[in-house]
Amino acid sequence: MLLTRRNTLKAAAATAFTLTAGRAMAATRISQFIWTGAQEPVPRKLAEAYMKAHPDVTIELTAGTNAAMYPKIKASLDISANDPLVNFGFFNLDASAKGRTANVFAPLDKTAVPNVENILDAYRQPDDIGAIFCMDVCGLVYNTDKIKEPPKSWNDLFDPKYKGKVALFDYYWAGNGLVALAKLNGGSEDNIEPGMKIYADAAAAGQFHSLYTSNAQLQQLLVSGEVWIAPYFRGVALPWAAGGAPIGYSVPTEGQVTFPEGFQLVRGGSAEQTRISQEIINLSLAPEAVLDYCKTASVLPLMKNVTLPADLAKDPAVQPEALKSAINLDYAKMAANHTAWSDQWNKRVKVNL
Amino acid sequence: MASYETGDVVLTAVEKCFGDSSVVKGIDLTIRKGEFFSLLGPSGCGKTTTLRMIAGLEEPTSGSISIRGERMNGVPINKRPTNLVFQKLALFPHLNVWDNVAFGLKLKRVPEAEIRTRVGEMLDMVRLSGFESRSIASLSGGQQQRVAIARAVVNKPAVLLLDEPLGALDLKLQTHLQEELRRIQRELAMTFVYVTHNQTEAMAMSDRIGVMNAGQLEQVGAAADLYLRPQTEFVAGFVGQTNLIGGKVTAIGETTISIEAFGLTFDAVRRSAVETGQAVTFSLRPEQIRIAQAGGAGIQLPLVDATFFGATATYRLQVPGGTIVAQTQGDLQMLAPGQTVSVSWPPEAVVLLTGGQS
Amino acid sequence: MTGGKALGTFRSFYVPAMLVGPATLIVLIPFIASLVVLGVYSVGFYPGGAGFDLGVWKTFLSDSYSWTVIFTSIRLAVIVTFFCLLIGYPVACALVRLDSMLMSIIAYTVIFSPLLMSVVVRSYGWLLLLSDSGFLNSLLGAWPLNLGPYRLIYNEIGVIIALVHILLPFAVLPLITVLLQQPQQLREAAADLGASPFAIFWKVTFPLSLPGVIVAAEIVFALAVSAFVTPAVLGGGRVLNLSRLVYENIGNIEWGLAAVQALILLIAAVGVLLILERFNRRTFGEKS
Ligand SMILES: Nc1ncnc2c1ncn2[C@@H]1O[C@H](COP(=O)(O)OP(=O)(O)OP(=O)(O)O)[C@@H](O)[C@H]1O
Ligand SMILES: [Mg+2]
Repeated sequence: MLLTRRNTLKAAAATAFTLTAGRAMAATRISQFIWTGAQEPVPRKLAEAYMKAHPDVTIELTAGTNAAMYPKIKASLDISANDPLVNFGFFNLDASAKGRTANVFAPLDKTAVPNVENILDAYRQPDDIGAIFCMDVCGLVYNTDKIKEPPKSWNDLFDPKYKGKVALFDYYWAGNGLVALAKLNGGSEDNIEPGMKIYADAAAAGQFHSLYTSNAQLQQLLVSGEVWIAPYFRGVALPWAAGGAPIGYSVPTEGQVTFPEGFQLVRGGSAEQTRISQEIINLSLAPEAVLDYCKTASVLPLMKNVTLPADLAKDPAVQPEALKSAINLDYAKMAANHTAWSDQWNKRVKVNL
Repeated sequence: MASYETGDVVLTAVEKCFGDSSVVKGIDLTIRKGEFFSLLGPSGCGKTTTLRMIAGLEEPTSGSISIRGERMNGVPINKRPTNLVFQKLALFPHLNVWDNVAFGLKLKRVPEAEIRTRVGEMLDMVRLSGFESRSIASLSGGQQQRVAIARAVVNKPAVLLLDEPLGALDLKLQTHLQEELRRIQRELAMTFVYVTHNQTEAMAMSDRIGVMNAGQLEQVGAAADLYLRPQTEFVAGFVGQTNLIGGKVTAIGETTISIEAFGLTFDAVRRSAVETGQAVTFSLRPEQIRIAQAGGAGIQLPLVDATFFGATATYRLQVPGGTIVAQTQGDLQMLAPGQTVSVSWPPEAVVLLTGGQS
Repeated sequence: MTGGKALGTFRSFYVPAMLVGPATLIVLIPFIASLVVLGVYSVGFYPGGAGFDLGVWKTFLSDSYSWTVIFTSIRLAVIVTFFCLLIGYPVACALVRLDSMLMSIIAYTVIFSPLLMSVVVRSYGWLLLLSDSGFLNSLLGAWPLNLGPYRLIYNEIGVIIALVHILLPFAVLPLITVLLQQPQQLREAAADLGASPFAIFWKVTFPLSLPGVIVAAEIVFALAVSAFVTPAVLGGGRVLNLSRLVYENIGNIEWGLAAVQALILLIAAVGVLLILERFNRRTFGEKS
């Protein structure tokens, strides 16, 4: 499908070339990285519209996860500084922080991307490296048949009555609330020991059913009732619930963990690629586009000029108080400690499962 | 039943079909105890198949096989008192010469010391002493063939089945092993069923020979029997060279009969019942024909050509509607083609072929 | 004379060299290149690296956790190899002996079907079969057994079951090849010499198939020791093998550490293969 469409576009471009004989129309290839699942449709729609309007531009979309894609992008720049694997894409703050340190991402030009001005001040990035325009929140996802009363606290993950019924994402990951838990127990990004210890003890006590590696796996575990409760994204859980699965999302009283995300421009593209990338980012930051994205992916807009429609705004998870008490993490520090923490996670938590 | 008493291996109406093709078409055969019996026949006539049925590697489609009075149908291979020397050898490539030969004895749990003497003697006999630890792949074709013989013979089976075991050997080794096999067979009083397509070999070694053709046993007898008194055209032709001549009985005397062929009269010894006017085929061996200078005794025939072989010479003689072949010792008479010669033969040389369908 | 000799050399060396050359290059060049890159990376030379430094090697090798992981990887691969051979051997024997065309097609399809499916799909299939509420456990839990449920997944058992299923064809193929090469006559000869079907198997069929068994073991071991997706999906975090660590460290942009771990994985695999190869040589070397 895609291929034929692309071929058709190429044919159209060729026709346009002959019609406008004399005017050079070298095709520009843009490579864009997007997330899989509910995050996929809107960028695809936008890219298609853009290509229709600009027959000389080909946008190739690669879907994947930050964890898998970021190292590849970094490696591609290491190999050739002028030939990045993708020109721009969608990244969380974790990858954003790593990329900022490693000089993978370039600042956005305010004149080319005027819409960055509409991002909430708290989420504007220093030097506009990245346009973090929306966020997901992480709370407690649970099986509504097994747990009648919605869980209230992060500590429920360690409640002995859920022994063997708790699952975590495999691989050290901020969403496991490691840092959040440390913070709630007197630690911080500089001292995660209080959080790590709780996980390590719980693992040794047999609290955890298993570690999962994909959304589909967690869904299966929760629906089958093998797992009752897990920390995970609202944006992932809500579509499951909407699809009729016995799955609920609850906001811990200590606060949800915020998970801001948005666009990053990768260094090393040609001037033309950079121009087009920024143009697409700007289009994606238009209020209608952001709202569309937030609705399909169940994430929250971080824009001054976007408000949620009344039905979505009623969700307790997005109430001002809920968001005010949310736990914000220092991703720069986390990126710096990533390796050491994942090493500890392996040796103290996973080994004891 | 009587045949069981004298017969070591008895085949009764044995047939074998592979799918639609009938390969062995009803064989009745009694092989005597301690006999060296050869199955002789052209390639593809069913010799191996017959042997495999005796060994138990194939079940007959119908008919029965018994060995030493015991019915063998349904008895598995490893429970039969036979051993087979395979045409394709089938030596074990992962074992050395010694272990190949000792294979059967070890399975029978023969005491270690006895195995050592028997295998040693056996290797000696097939002239492979010193090759004990050689791998099969490192042996020549002839050496492999000798290992195959040793591996079967060492078990001293009641009936040893050999499928062209001397094919790949040079003449000297062939002669040696022929003698050795004969000796073993006599000493151990084993019954040998020996398959070959080489008539000289069969005649040299066998007590009796069964001539097979297209799945059928044409004639069974001692070498001289087959040669001097073949019953079918096939046997006459396969065992030595001969002139096969079709004719008609013209007169029946006290001890002889007269047959007319090519407008000539052939006299034969009267052995079987015939009628005047009956169409018959007879065999006349080339070496039984005597040739002399024209004008001598016998009939006068033109010479078509002469071939000189040293010890013998072969002549083709013109008869109305064909030629006949004669063979003499040497060519002292220096006969030339085109010449007319005198040709004669004794009446015993004319052998009426009464068996077979032809 | 010299012309003939030159032609002889040409035939015996250059012709085979030209025939296998391209394939060898295609296999060797990327392999050697990536080995060199790994080697260089592992001692600190990589973009952003600090230059020559054996520290990563030292730290990794002196950490008892590393050895737990290395040992787990090898143990898992050995167990998987063992079961693949144990199950694969009778399967190969049966496949070789199938007479009916239709049966052969069905059997081959069933056994080789794992090769046609993506490893992810297969792993999720096992998830549905082996989970607490999955097919197998509901079968065991049903009357009259009323057993379980047993935890068959998210632990080593699940990973072993799934890896054996996935890698079975790689064991069966070389076994089939070696069994098909075995002349039927050898079994006949053994039977003729008095061997029971049992003895035929142990004295002829099996020893002659050992080279195939070793090849099967080598292939399955190499694939099992480096398996990534299946342990990740079905291990539930409990199966800590080297390939998982390599993956994590690539994610952490720890090129040096990832390179060290990848090399150790390679060394472990090659080490076991060399042992098997030596065994193979010693048993069958002098025969041909
Ligand atoms: N397993 C089999 N399936 C089908 N046909 C067979 C089989 N074995 C033998 N035949 C056929 O049976 C016929 C007789 O074969 P056999 O091996 O008995 O011949 P032979 O007399 O031993 O010949 P040779 O002297 O060439 O060894 C041949 O036409 C052969 O093709
Ligand atoms: Mg034969």
